[in-house]
Amino acid sequence: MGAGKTSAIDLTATVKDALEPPAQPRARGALGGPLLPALIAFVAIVGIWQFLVTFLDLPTILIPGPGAVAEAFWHDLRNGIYLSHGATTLQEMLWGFVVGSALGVLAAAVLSEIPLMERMFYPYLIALQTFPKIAVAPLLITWFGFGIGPKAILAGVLAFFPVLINMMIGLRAVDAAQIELLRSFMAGRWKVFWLCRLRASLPFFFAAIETGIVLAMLGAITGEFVGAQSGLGYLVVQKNAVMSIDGVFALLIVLGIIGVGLHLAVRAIHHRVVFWE
Amino acid sequence: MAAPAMVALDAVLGEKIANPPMTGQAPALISIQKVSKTFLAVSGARIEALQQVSLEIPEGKFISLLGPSGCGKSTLLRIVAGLERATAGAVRIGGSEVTGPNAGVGMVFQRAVLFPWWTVLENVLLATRIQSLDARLMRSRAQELISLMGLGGFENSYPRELSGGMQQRAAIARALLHDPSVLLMDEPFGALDAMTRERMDVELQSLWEARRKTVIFVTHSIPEAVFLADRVVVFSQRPATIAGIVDVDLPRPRTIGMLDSAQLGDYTRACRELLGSASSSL
Repeated sequence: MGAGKTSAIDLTATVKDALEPPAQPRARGALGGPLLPALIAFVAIVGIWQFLVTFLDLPTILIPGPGAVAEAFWHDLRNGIYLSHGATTLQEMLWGFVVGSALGVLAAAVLSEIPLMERMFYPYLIALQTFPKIAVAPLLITWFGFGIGPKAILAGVLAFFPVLINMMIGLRAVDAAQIELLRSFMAGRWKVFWLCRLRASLPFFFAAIETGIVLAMLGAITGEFVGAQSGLGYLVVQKNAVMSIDGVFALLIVLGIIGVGLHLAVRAIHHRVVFWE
Repeated sequence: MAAPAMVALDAVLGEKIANPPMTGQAPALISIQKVSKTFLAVSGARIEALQQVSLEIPEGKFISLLGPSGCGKSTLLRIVAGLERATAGAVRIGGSEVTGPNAGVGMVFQRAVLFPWWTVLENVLLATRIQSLDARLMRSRAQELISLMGLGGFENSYPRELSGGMQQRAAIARALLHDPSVLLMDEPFGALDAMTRERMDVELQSLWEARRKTVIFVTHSIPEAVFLADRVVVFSQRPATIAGIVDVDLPRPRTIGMLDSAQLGDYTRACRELLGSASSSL
């Protein structure tokens, strides 16, 4: 029995090794650690950027060098506009994301459990998914004004579809053997859903979430481009208008940091909840 | 399993039922009457999986269904379990007709199918989440079954930490939790290596010794079928009919040494002949 247990764990380890890049390079003298190569690339890129700006004599008003961007970043960080406008954008994004995802899960549950609903709505949902939903941003502004509302709605609409589609696939992708096992214990359809389908679809859910959160941010920012009084997207438009391009670059870096942060947060929650993967 | 372990089994599972008469005088608990099953292939062709199979299974007996892969014996088991409906004929358990899954039946499949998000204990307690059972009573019963199946200490482990054999033991414990009177097993050791399989056969048979449930065990291993059963029902190739029945009169409890005995060899030869004649008639 002990030998059998060891072999099960070894197999898992072997598969994991095959799928993940090795953390430690084997050659002596090679660059060690996962962070160092990425750091070197970063320095190289910044160096090349500075080189191009200096030696190609690019107009700094259009393409600022890394130094100018860093200065603008530090300046705006200190006067707190990243915080205040970032709070607005995050609010829009998170509200939209949470409501949009929740509706996506609910709709997926209904559509996959009730065939009539699926036949009625699925074609339209597919059509809507391919439709460029950001095009309705101006309409939402007209209807709901310049506040947080329309941006949150747009964020939610963008997050809804990947969650819906992925969850429908996930709810269907359940191992037939598990369903049959539950049936043999006399589980009815909703018990099967609750005990098995929902949990088995969690990996798909998180895959959808990771896409959805990025799209929600896209929706919030785009909504701010169209019409807003605050927010990071609004700031981008403002700074662009006064030709403060270094400020725009700095904002892009901020947005990048937020995006990566959110992605890592979702990943961490993913690994915590779907601990059995 | 040694005698002291047998005594422990008694204490855990309750009183030992007196040995039922071997001549089949006990009333038929499971009655399979002229069951036929036809499937529709994608091409539209009709596939006859079972053809007018009739079988009476007395209470407390261990019956093996033996036949080549794809001969319909699993289908018959699933019909008895209520997971599929027969195209014609009927199955009765305890007098009442089988129309769907039944609380008096426990089933073990070829794959253990433990849910990866639950511990072994939570998996064994599956029946409590579906049927209305006394939770506290069931919890202690689950612990006993887990120890009985040799998984003591692994209650809080997750399925991925267990080997194939251990997972199947957990699946058996799970099937026994709600104390069914009938245990249906569909090639439960088919996915295991030969040595683990032999070990599981011995353990299953001593487990059954203590509490003689009515068991229908599907397998395509001739030695396994004979070793475990009171009676082996040999099936022909598709469409499946019963090629013959071999009553196994080996003494119980059966030990691993019997696998090499001449007596067992006689029975496996008889089964093999039935299988051979069935397939050569195609």
